[in-house]
Amino acid sequence: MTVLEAARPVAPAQEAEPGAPSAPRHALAVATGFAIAAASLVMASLLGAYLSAAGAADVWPPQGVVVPNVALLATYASLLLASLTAQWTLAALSSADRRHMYLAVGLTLVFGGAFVNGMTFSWAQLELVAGSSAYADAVYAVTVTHLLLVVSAMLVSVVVGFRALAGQDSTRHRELVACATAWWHFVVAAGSVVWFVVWFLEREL
Amino acid sequence: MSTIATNVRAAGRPVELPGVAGWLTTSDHKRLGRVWLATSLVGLLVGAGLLVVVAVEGFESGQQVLTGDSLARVQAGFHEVLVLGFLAPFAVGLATALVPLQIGAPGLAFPRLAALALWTHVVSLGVLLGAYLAGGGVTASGRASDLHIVALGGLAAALSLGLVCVVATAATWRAQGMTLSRAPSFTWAVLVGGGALVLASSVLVGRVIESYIHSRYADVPLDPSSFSWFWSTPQLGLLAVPFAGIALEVVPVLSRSRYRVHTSALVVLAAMAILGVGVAAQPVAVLDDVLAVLVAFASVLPPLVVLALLGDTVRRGSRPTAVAALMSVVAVLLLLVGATVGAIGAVSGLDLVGTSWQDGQFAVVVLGAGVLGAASALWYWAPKLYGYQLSELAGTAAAAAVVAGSLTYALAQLANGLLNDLPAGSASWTGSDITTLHRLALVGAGLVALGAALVVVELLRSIALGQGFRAGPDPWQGATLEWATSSPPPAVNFTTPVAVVTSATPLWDEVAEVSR
Repeated sequence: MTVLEAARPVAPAQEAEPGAPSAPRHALAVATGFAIAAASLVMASLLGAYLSAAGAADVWPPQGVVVPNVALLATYASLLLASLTAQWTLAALSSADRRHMYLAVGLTLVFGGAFVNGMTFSWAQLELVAGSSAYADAVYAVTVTHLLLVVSAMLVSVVVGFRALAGQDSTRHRELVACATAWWHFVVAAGSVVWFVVWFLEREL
Repeated sequence: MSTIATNVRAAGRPVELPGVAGWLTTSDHKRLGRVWLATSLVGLLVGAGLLVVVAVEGFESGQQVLTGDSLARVQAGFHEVLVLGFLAPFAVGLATALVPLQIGAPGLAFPRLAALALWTHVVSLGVLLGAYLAGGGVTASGRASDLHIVALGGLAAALSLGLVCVVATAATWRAQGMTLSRAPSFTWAVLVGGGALVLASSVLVGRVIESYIHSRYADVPLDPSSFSWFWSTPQLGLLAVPFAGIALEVVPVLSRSRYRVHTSALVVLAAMAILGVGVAAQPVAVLDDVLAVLVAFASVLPPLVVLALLGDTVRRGSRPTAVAALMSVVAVLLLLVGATVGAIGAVSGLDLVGTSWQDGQFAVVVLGAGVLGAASALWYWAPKLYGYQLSELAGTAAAAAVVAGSLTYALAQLANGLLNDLPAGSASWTGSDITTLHRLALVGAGLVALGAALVVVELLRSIALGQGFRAGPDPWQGATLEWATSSPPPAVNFTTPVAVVTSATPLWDEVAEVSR
C-alpha cells in the first residue's frame, strides 16, 4: 500500500465536542476563491483600460506594429495544455497514482515554462518599447500581469510537487492540489480572454 | 482532543519569541491586530496633520506653507493616508484581533499570511510617506512618483491579504452551532464588507499597475481620478461597513437589549456593502448615469435603518451611559449625514462633482464617522485588546473634539462647494466669504487633530504607561464569545472549551440558564 493509499480514507466522523474545530474547514478553498475573484478583477480592470485606450486611439495598433500571431497562438495553446495537466495532477492524487502525479506536475511546469518563453519571444518580435505609445503601455500592462499570474501558478505547482515528494498527501494536501488546479484553470481562462481581446481582436478595435 | 490547547497544537501554532523579536515575527492574531491598530493610529495622526496643513493653506488666498503644485499632492495625500493608512487598516486590525475571539476560534486561518500582510502594509505606508517627502504624489512624475504608486499598490495588496485571512477564518472556523445568522454583527460586517473590499481593492491594484507603467515608462503624471473613486461615493459607504458593524455590536450590549430580529442587523450590513461597491463609479463622470444616482440615494437607507435598529434596541433596554455607546450612535448619525451629502452630490444638475463639496462628504464620513467609530471600538474592546479600560472622561473629550471638528470642517467645505463652486483643493481664490469659510475649516481641522491626539494620548497613558483601569474578563457583561475569556486573552484564546452556540448572544443565554 502506498502512502497515498494509506492516507486516502477519510477519518470516521468523531462525536462532536463543544468549541471550534481543530483546524479551519476548507479555509484554503475559501481563500483561493477570493484570490481568483480578486485576480479576475485586476485583469478586468486592466482589460477595461486597454479597451478604453483602444477606443480613444485613431489607429490601433499603431502603424508598423506586426503581431506575431503564429507564435502567440502556440504560446497560448501551451498554456491551455497546462490546464489539462493540472487537472491530471488532481486526478492522479485522487486515484493514489504517485507516478502519474509527478509526471502531471512536471508537465504542468513545462507548459507553464513554455508559455513564459513564448511570451518573451513574442514581446521581442513585437519590438514594442514601453512608454512609446498607449498601445505599448496597455499591451504590457495586460500581458505582464497575466504572465505574473502564470508564474504564481507555477510556484504553487512547485510547492505541490515538493510536498508530494516529501510524502505529504493528507486531506489538507488534497485541498492544496485542488486549489492549485483551480488556480491553473483560472490563469488559463484569463489567458484565453487576454488572447481574444489583445491579440485576436486587435484588428477589429 | 478534548482541550483547546491540544486543538491549537494541531493547528500548527508556531512558538512566540519574547521581546521585540517576538513582535516582529509574531503570527498571533492578537499581537498582529495590535500592530495594525498602532499603525493605523499613526496614519490617523499623519493624515490629520496633513489636513491641518491643507487647511492652513486656505487661511488666505495664495500659498503659505507649500509651494508649486505641492498643495494638490498634499490634498490627495491626506485622502490616501486617511483611507489606506487609517480607516481601512484600522478595520483590518480590529478584525484580525477580534474576529477569532468572537467566533470562538483558537487562531487565525493563515497566520503567516496575515503577518506578511501587516508588514507589507507597514513598509508600504513608510514608502508612501517617503515618496511624498521626495516630491512624489498626484500630478508629479519621476522616480518619487513611481515610488508613490508602488506604495499605493502595496497598501491595497496588504489590505486585501489581511482581509482574506480574516474572512476565511470567519467563514470556516466558527464555533459549533454558530451559523452565519448567529454571527456577531462586527464579524458579519467584516465578512461582507471585507469580502467586498477585497474585490474593490483588486480594481485599485489594476489601476496601480496601469498608472505605474504610464508614470515609469511614459513619464506621464499620475491622474488623481485613477484612485480618487476609492474614497468617493459610493465606495465610502463600503469603507464604513465595519464601523456600522461596531455600532451594531456595541450599543445593544451597553443598553442590555437584543435586536428584535438579529438577522435584520445582518441584512442591513450586507445591503450597505453591496451598495458601497464603487468600482463602476470611475471616472466620477459616471455619476451622470441614472443608476449611479439611484445607488447614491439608496446608500442613505442602510445608515437610516441602522439608526432605527439602534434606537429601537435602546428604547427596549436601558439608556447606555458608557461613552463607547454614545460614540457609536453619533458615528452612525454622521454616516447618515455623509450618505445624504453623497446623494446630493451625485445629482448632476447641481455640478458638485470636483468641488469642495466632495471634501465635505469625505470629512463627515472619514474624519467624523470613521474616527468616532474607531474610538468607540477602542473604548469598548480595550479590555480584550490590551487588558485595560480607558477613561470615560478622555473618551468624551476626544469624541466632542472629533464631532465638532469634523462637522465644522465639513460645513465649511460643503458651503464653499455649493455656494462658491470652489474646486476641491484650490489654492487661489478671491472673495471674503470663501476666506471666512476656509478659516472655519482650519478650526475644524485643528479640532479633529486634537481629538485624534487625545485618543492616542489616552491609549499611551492607559496602556503604555499602565495608568489605565485593569479590566476583568467581562466588564460590559457582553453577549458574544470574546467576553468568555480573560482580558487580555491567553495565547490560545480560550482555556476551556467553548460551549455550543445556540443564538447570537451566547453569553446572555448562559446567564439566563444559570439564573433559571
